[in-house]
Amino acid sequence: MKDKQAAVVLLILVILGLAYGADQMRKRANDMRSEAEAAKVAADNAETQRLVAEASLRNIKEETDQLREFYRSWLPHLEAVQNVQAGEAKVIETIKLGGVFSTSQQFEDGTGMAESVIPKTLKAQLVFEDEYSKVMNWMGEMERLLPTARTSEYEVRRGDSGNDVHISLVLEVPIFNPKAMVIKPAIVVAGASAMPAPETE
Amino acid sequence: MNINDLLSHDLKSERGNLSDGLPAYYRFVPVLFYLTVVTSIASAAYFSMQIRNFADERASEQARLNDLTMVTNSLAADKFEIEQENVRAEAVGKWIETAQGLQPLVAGLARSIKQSASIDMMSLKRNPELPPQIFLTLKLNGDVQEQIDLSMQAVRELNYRSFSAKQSQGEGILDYNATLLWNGVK
Repeated sequence: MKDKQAAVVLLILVILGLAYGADQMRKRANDMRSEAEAAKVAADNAETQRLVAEASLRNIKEETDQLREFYRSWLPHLEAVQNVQAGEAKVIETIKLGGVFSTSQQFEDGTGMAESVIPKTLKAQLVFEDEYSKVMNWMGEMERLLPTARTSEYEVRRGDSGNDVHISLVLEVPIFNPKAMVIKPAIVVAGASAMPAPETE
Repeated sequence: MNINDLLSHDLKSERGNLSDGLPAYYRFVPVLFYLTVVTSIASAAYFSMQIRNFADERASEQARLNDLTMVTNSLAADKFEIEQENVRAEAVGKWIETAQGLQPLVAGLARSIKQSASIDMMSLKRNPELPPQIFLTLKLNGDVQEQIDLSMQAVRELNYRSFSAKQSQGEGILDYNATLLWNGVK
């Protein structure tokens, strides 16, 4: 091959190389454009998801606000009894404060509501032999101090002497578990407005 | 003196080309080369700029995506917390509905007793299956018929509804059973 021909071939090779390089740059630019567009689409989708999540949060807040407000108003009373010992102490304290004569106090574990913040209860079986008005006052005071307690049984009979009455009652004190994880997708808020709010002390 | 006379010899004799020159159009090869160099540099600069711009755009969109994902996750976490609180509230609501104090009912019944009658025994028991239902048992002595009317009037005034009432009456004695259901706050 002559020198001139070799030079021409070399030049053509260099030209092809430069064209190839330019084409590679074009491809890279196209790839990058595709990636940028894909990122934009993903970001736009995320924006839509954020808007949906915001609307969903706003709706659920509005729908459940009343019930949650009700719950928060009862929370201090519920949090006061988070174990059986605290429940027993509360009941005994109210009896002492009331100054009523109790002939029997029995405590045992009761059943609460499964998979809820009230997984169990403290069942207190109490018997009193005292003046009727005194026991009534104590009962009112107990319901004020332990508003979450449920009186499930109450029986009054004539006492052995004078104005005394024999009262036996069963109290159920809810043992509150604030950390209970309760997952339930459906939201039911009916009936919240009919429920009473706790009395503030 | 003629200069040709001074030349003693000719070092290179005249001779023809060994081969023909390249065709004329091959002169365009260098031109094409220069054009290619210029075009390549220009396109490289253009595409580099595009790559940088698209890379910036991609980074910016990814940053937006990350921010939005964080916000959406945070909103989802807030929603989950609200759902949790709502379910807790439902359970507490169910409990509180059945924890309505009995003292006003007991006191109301006791206050309704006239001097002409007396309570021998009074019992209030919640239905274990349906705690809002309260089984009332009253044993009265004395002027029992008028007394039971007054007592049930007192119950109604406290916004309790009675149903399934049964009574057995003797001479000055009445056993009365009914199921009470609280109608809620007036």
